[in-house]
Amino acid sequence: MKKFVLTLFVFSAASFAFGQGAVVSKYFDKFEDDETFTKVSVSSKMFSLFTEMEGNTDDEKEFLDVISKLKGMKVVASEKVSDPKGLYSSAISDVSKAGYEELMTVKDAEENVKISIKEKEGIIEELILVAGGKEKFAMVSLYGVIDLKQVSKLASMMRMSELKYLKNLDGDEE
Amino acid sequence: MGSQIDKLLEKYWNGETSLEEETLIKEHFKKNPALGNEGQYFRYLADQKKVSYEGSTSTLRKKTWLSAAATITIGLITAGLVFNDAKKDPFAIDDPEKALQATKEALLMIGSELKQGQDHTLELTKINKAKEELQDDS
Repeated sequence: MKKFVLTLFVFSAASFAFGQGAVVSKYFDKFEDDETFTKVSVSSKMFSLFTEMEGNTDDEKEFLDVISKLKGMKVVASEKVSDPKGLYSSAISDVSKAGYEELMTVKDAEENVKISIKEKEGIIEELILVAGGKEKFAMVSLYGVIDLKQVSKLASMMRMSELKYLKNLDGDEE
Repeated sequence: MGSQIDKLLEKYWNGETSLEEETLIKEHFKKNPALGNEGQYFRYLADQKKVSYEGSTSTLRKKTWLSAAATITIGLITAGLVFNDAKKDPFAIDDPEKALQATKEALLMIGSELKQGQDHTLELTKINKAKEELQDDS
């Protein structure tokens, strides 16, 4: 009986671990065969590889410092969505249902962006960004220890020069 | 009778008795429950013979069932993990350079939104200040 309980515990722990990123995974599955959607996932293994790297410049060092605390990243994005508004609102409701707290919303003529987080003892452990434009839709989620100050500092330090993999995610029209 | 039993017992402890002789010994002690240590030993042997198999097979079955359940559970967990892994894999970036680039872009995107949010908040405070000043003037 003890073994049985232990097995159940292990099982639930395992499913909890996979529960992380469940919201984004749902959209991964939804658009699995849709070529117009960019789907990117960076595993914790990959992030552990990054910790071995050393930066040459200050902003590189800052960047590596931020990612050394991350454990995973998932992105689903598309530039041409048939119903971006519907997708945006369904994503928003999924995110809040999954227990994320809304951190901020930015609305302008071009797009809506909502950033939601999961906190534990003052430390942000998960962050989800949902963006919906006129045609664009994007979901970015991060896991690990996320320092918002550092992340926003990064943005002012580095320039969005080479958007190769997540094109047009910055909200600026190119 | 007593001497015959003693002889048989001696044979028994030497391991030379036949099955029939052993039965004789057992029956003797069964008939004389008052006899001491050796009597207890043979009555114990007789009692043990009476223990039926039914009880032990049921515990055996229970154990088999438990181990089968455990095997199935382990199998399910493994399958679940493998399945989950396979499900996660198709979009995972294997090239560290690309993964780094993608992470960079995602972080910059989040960062710029955060910054934009802060800027908007600043603007709002400015507007509110202006509004307050106007209200104070009127």
